Amino acid sequence: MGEEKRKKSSSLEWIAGIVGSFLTLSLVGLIVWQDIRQSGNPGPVITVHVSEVEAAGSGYRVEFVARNITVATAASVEIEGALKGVADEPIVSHTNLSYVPGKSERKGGLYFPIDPSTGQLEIRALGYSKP
Amino acid sequence: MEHAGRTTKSNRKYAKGLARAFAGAILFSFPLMMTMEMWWLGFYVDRTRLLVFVILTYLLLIPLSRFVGFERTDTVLEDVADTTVAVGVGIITSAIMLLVLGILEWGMAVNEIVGKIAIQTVPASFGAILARGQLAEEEQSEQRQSKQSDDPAKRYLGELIIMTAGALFLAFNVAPTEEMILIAFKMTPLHALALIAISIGVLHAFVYAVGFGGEEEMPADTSLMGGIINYSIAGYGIAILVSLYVLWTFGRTDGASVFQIAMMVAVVGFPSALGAASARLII
Repeated sequence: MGEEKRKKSSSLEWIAGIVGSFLTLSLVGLIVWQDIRQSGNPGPVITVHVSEVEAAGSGYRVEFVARNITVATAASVEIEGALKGVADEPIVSHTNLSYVPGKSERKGGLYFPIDPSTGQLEIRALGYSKP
Repeated sequence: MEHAGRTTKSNRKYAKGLARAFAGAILFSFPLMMTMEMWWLGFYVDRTRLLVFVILTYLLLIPLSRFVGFERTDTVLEDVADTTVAVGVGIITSAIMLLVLGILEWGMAVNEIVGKIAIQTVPASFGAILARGQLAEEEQSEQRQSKQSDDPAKRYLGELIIMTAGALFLAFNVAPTEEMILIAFKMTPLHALALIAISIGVLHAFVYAVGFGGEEEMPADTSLMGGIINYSIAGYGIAILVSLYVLWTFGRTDGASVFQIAMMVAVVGFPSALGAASARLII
């Protein structure tokens, strides 16, 4: 067991140790920070906005982004798009997002038989369940 | 004549090794072949990420082949050759098994079939390489011991590689499932902190129980704190990086906030830490 060899191994070990400590502390730090932010926060708030409208097959596809502006996660989020002003009754399409995590966004799409730009399109989240 | 006899003998030995590789590939990959998220990943996972993942696995298997490969190797070239064979075994095993299980069907897009086989190839190749460590005869296990380097720095690096492989394998085994993100959503930050503490604790327990880089090395000149930082925390650092990488590969980090990612890393970090810790046992 040469002294040299031991020193050489030590430096590599310390680098790995320091990197590991940094990563672990960062992870713990982020989670603690989230805990502080989360305290006293009520349920999720989800905003939905249209990102793109495109002709798709015989109809139109409306892509949307659902953004959860709170830190609380929402599960099975129901998204409904209603196209008004083109017929007597609004044309309604809906879909379901498995999860919209806190402070995160999820994308999805809705289909409409006619061009949504001919009327007023309203997209909103109908509800959610707690994960 | 004598030469011909020797060749036949070494061919038979190689065939035996190959058979073990196939057995290992099936053993280590069947749980994931029977996981539906893995089939879906086959078509929705980002192609660039999938390619990077397969290449990284290949590169990780090369040094692993030296420690545990299905055949005894002495040169890097032999390791590369054996790793290539292991990946080949992984591809064949995945293709046959997915076909038999009715997951690959006629009429599927080539892109989808390739994706499904490629993603299953990763655990199957691991299995093919690990086959020797798990299924080899005693005599070969002894040879493996003697292959380990005497240089402590090299040895430590070897340990880190083995830990990374173990972490990647176990993280990959659970990360595709929906449950991983569901658990992250269900947990509060306090739960996550507790899980991190348990992960590090388990890692440390394994490091002491199994021994790390030879028994005489760690306790001799390292303090308790030094031992924890240099071995257990370094191992958990690997677990964090591997978890983050696997989550990114599967697209779990897309659109997620940094906090959600931290929670998911804490969840996947647990199997990763277990993998890193127990790699010495398996390998």
